[in-house]
Amino acid sequence: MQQILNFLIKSRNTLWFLFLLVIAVALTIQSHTYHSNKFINSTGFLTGGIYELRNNMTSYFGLKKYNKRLLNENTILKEKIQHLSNLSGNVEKINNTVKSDTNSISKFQYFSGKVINSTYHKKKNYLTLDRGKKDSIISDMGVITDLGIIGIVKKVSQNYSTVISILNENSTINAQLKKTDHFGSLVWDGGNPNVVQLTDIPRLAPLKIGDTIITGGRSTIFPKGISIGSIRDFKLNHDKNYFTVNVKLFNDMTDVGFVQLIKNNEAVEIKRLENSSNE
Amino acid sequence: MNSSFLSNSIRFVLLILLQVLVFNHMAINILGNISPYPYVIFILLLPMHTNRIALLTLSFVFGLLLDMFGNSGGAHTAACLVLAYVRPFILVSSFGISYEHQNLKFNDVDLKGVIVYVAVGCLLHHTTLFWLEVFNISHFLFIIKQTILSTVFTSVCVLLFFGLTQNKKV
Repeated sequence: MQQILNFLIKSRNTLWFLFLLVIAVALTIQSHTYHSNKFINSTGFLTGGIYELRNNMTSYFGLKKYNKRLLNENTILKEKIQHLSNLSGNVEKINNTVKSDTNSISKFQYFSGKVINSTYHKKKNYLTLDRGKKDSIISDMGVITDLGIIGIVKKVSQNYSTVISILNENSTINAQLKKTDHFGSLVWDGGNPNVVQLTDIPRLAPLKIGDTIITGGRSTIFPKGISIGSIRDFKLNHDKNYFTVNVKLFNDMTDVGFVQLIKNNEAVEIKRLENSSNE
Repeated sequence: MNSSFLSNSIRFVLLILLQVLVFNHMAINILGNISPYPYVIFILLLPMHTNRIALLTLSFVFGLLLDMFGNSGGAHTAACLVLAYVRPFILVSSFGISYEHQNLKFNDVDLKGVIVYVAVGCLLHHTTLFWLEVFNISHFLFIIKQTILSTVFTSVCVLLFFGLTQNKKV
């Protein structure tokens, strides 16, 4: 007994070190599994607050550029409204039937937000937004800008939320070609922060460099048709059945400022249905 | 003792803020994006004669805060712990036994010793950090590359910092 005590006292430094190290490694392992970064994240009061403070100071520098983008987006939206009102003016009935038929207007709800922190040089990149539970943000909402997709909301606290960037090895997003309906999954190989990979595109798909890639409607997170990027190059896999396509993102992921969040009001219903049919 | 406590507290807060607000956003494109982690200064300059359990705990908290900001799980925490634990051995091997009597003022210590101390410390810290941060053996080459480049980068930053702050009296 005496000897054990002596040993414990003598090597207490090492034992304490090992104890703390085990905690640290456990936290690391936990953070590398997709859905459970419970304790250590930047949505807290302190971390989020400091990031917001920083952003309040630095956000002025990009305003000119964002004004320009906003203006462009407004122009495009106005054109679309004009187009739609022309349509409905002529055939008002169509408009009404579309409304009552599909309810597509209320299916996706949009919120705005501001990126207060982001990285792009790691293998697993995250963003922090200044929107949280009090702005009715929930996890698994899609995050986009006017140019294309950014990522998916992961953790939400009262005032802040973290987003798994598409530049994260854990992220997979359903995407497809704009011209045809061939779809695959969008992943990132951890290399260039402006290029992501679209895998599992069937060999029959007609690919051309410069073609646009958009989100597919096969997940509950993004609506179909949000732009992602353009094809930079592509090559066949080893088994010669599928293409892997390098996609040049429309967004500059090294410089993300203002974003929109998309809430799918039917996500819960769809997920419940899918889970119950799996059982 | 009191002034040492004060300067360490100031370093604690200041280095976390600097890392989080400046250096984490500074990915410099040399053979891929690398960023420096000069917060290791805090651990490299911790007092030596204090209770080692307290020092380890302090490093743990320090790393945990950085992990919270960086969404990196426990990678920084583990790296800080390893550095804090191994520090006495690096000190002995770079300055010889005589380091025990000095209060880590680098004025009268030879430059070579300082460089070795900083470089080895950074290397150990960054090795732990990148293995845990990437956590994927198939990125072996990436980890090695990132470790080496960041070690050089951080070491230069730390040595510059020492050069600017430690020689005031001269």
